[in-house]
Amino acid sequence: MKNLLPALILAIAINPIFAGMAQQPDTPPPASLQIKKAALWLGGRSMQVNASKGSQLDFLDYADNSRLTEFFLLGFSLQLQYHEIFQLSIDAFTADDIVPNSLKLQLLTQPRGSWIGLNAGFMRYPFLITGFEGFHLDQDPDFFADANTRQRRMHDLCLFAGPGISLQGKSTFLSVNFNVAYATLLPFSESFRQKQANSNLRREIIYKTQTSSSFLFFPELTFGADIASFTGKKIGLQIQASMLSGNRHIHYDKTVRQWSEENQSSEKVRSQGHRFEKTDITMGIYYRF
Amino acid sequence: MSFNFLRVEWLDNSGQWPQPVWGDTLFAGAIAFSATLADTTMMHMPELRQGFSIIPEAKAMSCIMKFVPRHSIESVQIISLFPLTEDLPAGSDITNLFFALHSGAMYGEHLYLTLDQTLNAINQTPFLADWPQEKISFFLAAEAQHPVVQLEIRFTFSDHTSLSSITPPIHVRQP
Repeated sequence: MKNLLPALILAIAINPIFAGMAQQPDTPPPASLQIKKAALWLGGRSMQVNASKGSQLDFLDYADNSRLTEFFLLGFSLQLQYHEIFQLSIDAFTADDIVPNSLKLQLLTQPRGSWIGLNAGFMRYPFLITGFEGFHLDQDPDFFADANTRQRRMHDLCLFAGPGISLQGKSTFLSVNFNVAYATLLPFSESFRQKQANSNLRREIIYKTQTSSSFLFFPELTFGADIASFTGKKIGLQIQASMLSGNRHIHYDKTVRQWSEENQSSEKVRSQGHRFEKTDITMGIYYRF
Repeated sequence: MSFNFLRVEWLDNSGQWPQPVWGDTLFAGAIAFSATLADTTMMHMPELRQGFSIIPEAKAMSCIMKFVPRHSIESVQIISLFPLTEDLPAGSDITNLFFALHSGAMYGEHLYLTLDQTLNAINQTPFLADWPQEKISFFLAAEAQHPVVQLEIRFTFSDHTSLSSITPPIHVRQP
């Protein structure tokens, strides 16, 4: 891993030397922003979050955790080209709730005729944590509490950057990105009210999470092949895969109020790290302008 | 209006919500009672429509009138008539061991209020003319160690008058 980064920087630096070997045609650069590709795709998502099961509530123990967290991802992509060396990709997508709350913006800069470049961008997507009221129902069996299932939509904001390889054939293309993402979960608060059985004691437990950020590995792969062309435009099929992987946590401030709101105590709780892996695989149809 | 009536009843708070007591026993950690303050001079029978008419009659609605008691509640005092614990012999003032909820504070929405907060809230609440009463629930924040509990409750008003009542004795069940 230590040798990989200098090698990539060297490859980018000497890349123009091999420009002649690149498969892109030697055409004059377009003068302005142009739509290069539009795509519509469907796919699925797998999310794996290791459980910690400590003595304190850990919200990530209740995150979506299955091989097929979302079996329906529907998205639309638009690829814009500026001066041949800048490529802007916009991906908007939704899960089966049909709420268009996922977005990826990505800018790739690639020297003319080169096959390697740098890309950076922003991604936002939601995932659910469900059933975390179960922690207190299990932990405090002698307390009455609301047993309705609680669910919260977490919003993961990722800034990412890294080197990318883009190869262009006559009727196929392949791009691979090796990104590092700085992912942030936005803070939220939850509270639980309890009444002890055979006692007058009532209490409220309030959790206020902190902004939780982690560095994650975020590789992406896209492969496409033309299946038809007419008047210089091409229609094809593409497959995309991406993974977000690393360690994550949600630290919080915990306040316990007993009897009345004035009688309270607080503590800071640092949750354990969880192994976090999110994998998206999609297939779709594209139109190349 | 002025409060001229006080009724005190035990509450069974062993479950999730307080209920009237049907037996003669309370759990040692769940000693609770309700105190109903009212102005009985403002209570009246609702108007009854009698007779029969085939002619529809028009009737104006009366305005909703609200009243504030002339004399606010200055304090409440709770005395234990039996020993409560080893440190609290018969005759001890145990007011500070209680929390309360008045009828305007939804039980599920609040933790308990202190007695001062409860009295302040009641003193600022106007009463409907046809509902001149307030029910306050009191909850003991300690475990009774004596097998029997009996309490005397006294409300003192701003004109230095007071209303007091004594609960019936009740048996205490240790956990």
